[in-house]
This record gives sequence, structure tokens and C-alpha cells, in this order.
Amino acid sequence: MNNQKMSNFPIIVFIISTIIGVGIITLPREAANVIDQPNMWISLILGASIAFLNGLLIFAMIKRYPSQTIYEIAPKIAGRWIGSVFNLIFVVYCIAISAYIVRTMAEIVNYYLLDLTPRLVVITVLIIACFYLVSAGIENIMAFLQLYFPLILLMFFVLTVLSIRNIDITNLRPIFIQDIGPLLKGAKITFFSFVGYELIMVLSKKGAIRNWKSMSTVLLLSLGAVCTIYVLFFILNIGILSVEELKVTTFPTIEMAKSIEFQGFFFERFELLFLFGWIITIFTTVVAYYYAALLGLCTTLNCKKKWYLNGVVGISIILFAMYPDGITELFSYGTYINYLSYASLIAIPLILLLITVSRRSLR
Amino acid sequence: MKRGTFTILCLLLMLTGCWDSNEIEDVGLIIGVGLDYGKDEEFSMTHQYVVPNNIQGIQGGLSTGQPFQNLTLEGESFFEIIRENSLETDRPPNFTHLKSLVVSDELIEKESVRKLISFFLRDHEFRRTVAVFTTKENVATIMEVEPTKEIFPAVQIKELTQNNYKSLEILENTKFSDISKYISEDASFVIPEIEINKDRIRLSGAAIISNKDFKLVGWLNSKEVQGLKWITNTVKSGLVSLTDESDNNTKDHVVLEIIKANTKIDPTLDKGELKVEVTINTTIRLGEDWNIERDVFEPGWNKKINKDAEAHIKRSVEKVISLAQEEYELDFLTISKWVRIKEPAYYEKHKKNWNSIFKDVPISVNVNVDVDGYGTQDLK
Repeated sequence: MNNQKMSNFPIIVFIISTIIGVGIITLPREAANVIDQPNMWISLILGASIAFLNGLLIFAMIKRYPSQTIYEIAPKIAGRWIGSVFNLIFVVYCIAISAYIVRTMAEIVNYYLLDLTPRLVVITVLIIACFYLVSAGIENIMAFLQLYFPLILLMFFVLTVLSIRNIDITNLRPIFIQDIGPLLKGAKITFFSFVGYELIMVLSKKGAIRNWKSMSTVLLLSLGAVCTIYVLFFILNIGILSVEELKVTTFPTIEMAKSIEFQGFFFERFELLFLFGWIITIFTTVVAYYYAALLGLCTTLNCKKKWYLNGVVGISIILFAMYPDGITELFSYGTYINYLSYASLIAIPLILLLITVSRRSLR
Repeated sequence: MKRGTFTILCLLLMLTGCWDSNEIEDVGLIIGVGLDYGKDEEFSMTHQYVVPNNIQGIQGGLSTGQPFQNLTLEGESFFEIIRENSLETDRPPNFTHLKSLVVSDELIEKESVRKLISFFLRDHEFRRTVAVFTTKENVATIMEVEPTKEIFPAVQIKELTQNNYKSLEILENTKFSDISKYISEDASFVIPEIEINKDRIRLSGAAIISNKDFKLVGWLNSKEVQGLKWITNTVKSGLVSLTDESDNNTKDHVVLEIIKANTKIDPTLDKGELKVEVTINTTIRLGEDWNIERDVFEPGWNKKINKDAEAHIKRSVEKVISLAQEEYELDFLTISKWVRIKEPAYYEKHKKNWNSIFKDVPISVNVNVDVDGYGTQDLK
């Protein structure tokens, strides 16, 4: 794959693996609290559409500078200093979101798997694995993601098949409620569960995507696939746990997996198997953001020794991740991260795009 | 050099895998829990431990005792009692394979089920599929009853309801997940009741839990459970026996087997007033017929059976509706669920005072019985 143009498929895998992460476990509760309707999965489709439009906006910006990443484009457009500030915001965003994800993973591992192992150890082990993979370069990250992609899909498939018989259809009804308001409000939340496609700004170095057609195919396929998986899991979650119950369950999808049981023979505790698979999805997400943060730091600081910067990124993720006191505080930090995402997903690309467009028209 | 150091560091980290290790031989698996009031202290809790050495079979070894051991302890709170286990057994209790929970009727009469269950839902060790039962007997005694087909009483209790598709009197298990759902939806519900009948555990009826404070308010006997099963659309199969005296059929036993059953609950709004229509469609087959005169090869043979069966089912459903509306004024029939689905706007508005509305809602019952056949032979 070296020095060659990347085809669309690895990029789709990259985006899907990046997007699927914590959201699949915590999103049903967050959505239930805001939307409070059995048809809240419609909100996901709205969220995905917003993400798709946002993805096109980002592409409109990076298309003008082929074979360059956001970190090279920003200083070029907005001047060295402001550009560097933009880059740093993006780097901080990547670090913060990785920290949030690892910490949530650590909490879940602590609840369900290893209740004596300190969170710090769980987080450090994962970050060291990231450190190692990221130091091997983007080609190897891509290869890793493709290797594990079928495994992740298989796990989702098995969970779906096993829990489908627990669904109580009445929990999902009524589907057609006239009240659109909550669904729109919910789209604000579901939109954030599709965050991850913005890393397309970082991948552009390889000159992967050149035209609108391939870009929209990539976005459509990856967001579509994630949206399908999310909708499926929402339907399972609502069908098995009901909306009222979702509101009070900390990790709905795991509780859903816990409901799997076959009377008669000893098949229980499927949630443990599910968690092992799920940790891989967390790892793929964190690796992607880790890589983006490292690349940003390297480009902005113009530094040659990646070894040290790699360590800096890793340690800052660990420090950020250990900062919240407990799970409630952790979830409340989620809102700050949402502001950061607004900035780096919408504001920065939009500002850069406006500057280039206005410059061109001035000429 | 760098690479080597790094690899060694990584390998060192692998050692943490043993951090949480817990040998399976040292785990005290608990498969049943019973809750009751204590004699000396506030609460008592019975734990049913698995004693692997006494399980017969696989090794073919001689078993000297029961494969389970019940440990009843008392304390001020359930969590404290669980910790107190460590004073009497060397194996830490492990609840991940808990099968059933038996609660005494006194306990849920005075304490809210919400409080009792919250501990079990909060802790991740408990599965959501644990079946909950209540009993009027002594909880510690009923958990000692020698099981008939299973190895452990706790498993036996849980599996009793497995035959719910065979009989009209067996409710489906009320699981932790169900209770937690009912409580978060603020709905009344029922918990199946077990009793000791001739040294064997037997399902008998159900306890009604009010949604006002989630305490026990009344009982349904097994006849009334039938009506409840019809109205909650959980009838899969079972028998309709027209031998009741009120069926004017006293001499002729007619027993019908249910092949298919479906209940539709249709709430409609009529000028702002809620009306509920219950429609039961069922297909039955003649199972046992003591009426020799009846000739099933003659057209119209099933008219009388049809009419009697319809009246019989209607009566049992109306009985439980009147219990719910008049005696308890509680909606344990899950009518509210259908109002939520069919009339969401109305339900949203009246969710809070549903209890007071429910008792005056007119509920009409329609039963359509279709006699499907008469079996393989009609002996004359």
C-alpha cells in the first residue's frame, strides 16, 4: 500500500471503526432522556443526515488543497499563528475525545470485568497498545482496522441474533407519533454519536479522495453502515428494555446483553463476550484519534522526533482520562467535548472555507 | 535496543492479567436467594449454595449429602447479610448464576418492592433474568423442599413456569428486568406465587403489587390467573373446561384444548372519554367430551360448545377486570400500555392519575371462539 493511492474501502473501514465506540453503549440512555419516545431511532437517521452534510462541508474545504491535511491547510489559509491555534484546537479535541472514550471504557471494564484492577492500569495498557500501533504509521493502522473489522461486525451480528427473541414489540409502539419536536432535539445528541468522519481531514495526505463522487460514496457508505448498526441496536434496546427503563440504566446495551439466556441449558453471561469485542471497537476509535492528534502536533511544531511527541500525546490522554472523579462527572464532561466538536467539526472548516472563497472572489 | 526494551516492558504488563483472578473452585456459587423478616434482627436472607462435590452423575461418585446447602442469616440490611456470609463460609458468595429469588408475603406487604429490588439491580453481578416469586410459606422451608426433576430447588422453582404454554394457570416468569421495567413505568404488576403442596413446590396464583407504593395489596387465585392470562395476551395453550356448575353442563364434561389464542386491546377516545374494547380470538379443539349424544359429523355440532366456551372465557376475563377496577382499583392488566400505544396524547396527559381514571373506564369484552376439530376419532 506504500506510496500508492488508497482505495475507498480502507477509508470506509477507517471511518466506521472510528465512529463506532462508546456511543453504542451509552447513546440509548442519553437519547431516551431527551427524546422519551419509542420511535427515537428516527432521530438517529436525522443525526446521520446532519453528519453527512457536515462531511460534505469539510470536503468542500479540503478539496481545494489536494494531498494536504488540515494541519497544513489551516496555516496556509488563516496565517501561521491563527492556523496553529486552529490546529491546536483540533489536537486538543482529539486528545479530549480519546480521554473521554478510554475513561468510559475503564469504567465499564471496572463494573463488569475487572473490579479490582485500578482504572489507571486499564487505561495505561490500552494507551500503550495505541502508542505502539500509531508509531507504526498510518498504513499499519489501516491494515489493523481491516483485520478487526469483520470481527466487530460478527460480534454485533451475534448479539443481534441472540437478543432478537427478547424483543417485546409493544415497547416499540407507537411508531408514528406526531410529535416531531423531541426527535429534532434528539438529533443534536445523536449527531455526536456519528463524530469520527472528520478524520477525513487528516487522511487526505495520501491523496485518497479527489472528487465529490468518491467522497460522497465514502461518506454515504460509512455513515449509512454505522446508522444501520445504531438503528438496529436502538430497536433492540427499546424493544428489550423499554424507553422508561433506558432512562435509568447506565449502560443499556450491556444490560440488554445480560438479558440473553436460554432456559434449560447453561448459556449465560454473553455480555462478557460482547465486552471483549466492544473493547476492540474502543481501541480502533482511540487509535484513530491518537494518530490524528500526533500528526497535528508533529505538523504544527514541525518536529522530527515523533517518539517523544507520541509519548506526550499518550500521557496527556491518560492524564485527561484520570481527571474526572466519577462516572457522573465523566458524563458531564461530555458536554464540554461537544463544544470542542462544534468548534473543530463545523466552525474551523467553515471559517477556512469562507476565507478561501472570499479571497478568491476578491481576486 | 529501544525495540527490545519496549517489548520487555510490554511483556511485563501482561502480568497484570492475573490481577482479578478468582479460582473457580473457591467461588461459592449461589443459585437461589430467599428474603424474609428475621426473628432476632430486621431481615433474614437464605442463600442456596451449590455444593459441587455432592452433584451426582458425571463422576459417578457416591454422594453423601444434598447437592445444595442453604444458609440463612439475619441482619439489618441485605448487603450486610451478604457480607456476613464470610463469617460462616470460606467461599465468597457469587451471584452471577442466581436463578430465582423468593420473597415472603409479609416482607412485600410492609416493604416496597422498589426498595427490596434496588440493591439487586444496582449490583452488576445479578442477572436480569432472575425470576422472582412470592410465597405465604416460610421462605427458608420452601427452599429446602426436595426438587422433583431438577437438582436444585432454586432451579426447580424457576423452571416451573416453563410449562406456561401448557396451562392457563401458569404465568410467565416475572423477571428482574420485568420488575425494573414496571417500576420505572410506574405500573402495577403481579408476581407468581409458590406454595408447598404435599412436600412438593407448586405454583398457585399470583400476588398483586400496587403501583402506589409497590407493596403487596392482594392475591389472585389460579382461576383468576386464567383471566389475567387471557387479557395480557399470554395464552399460548391450555384447557377450557366447561364442567363448571354455572355452565349448565354439570353432567357432561367438555374439555377443550386451546390451539391458538390472541387478545387485542383497543382503547378508543369517544368525545374525550376513554373506552376499552377487549377482543379475544381463539381456536380450540374438542379434547374430552362426555356427551355421548353429540354427533360431530353432523353440521352445527359445535354451536353449543362455541357458545359455552365464549361465555366461559368472557366470565373469567370479566372477573379479573372487576377485581382490578372495583376491588383493587389498580391496573395490573397492563391496559395502560395499550392506551400509551393507541392514544399517546391522551396517555401523556393522564399518566399521573391513571389509577383514578382506570377504575371508571368502561371495558367491554368480546370473545370469538372457533372450534377447530374434534381429534382423530369420535367414539359412539
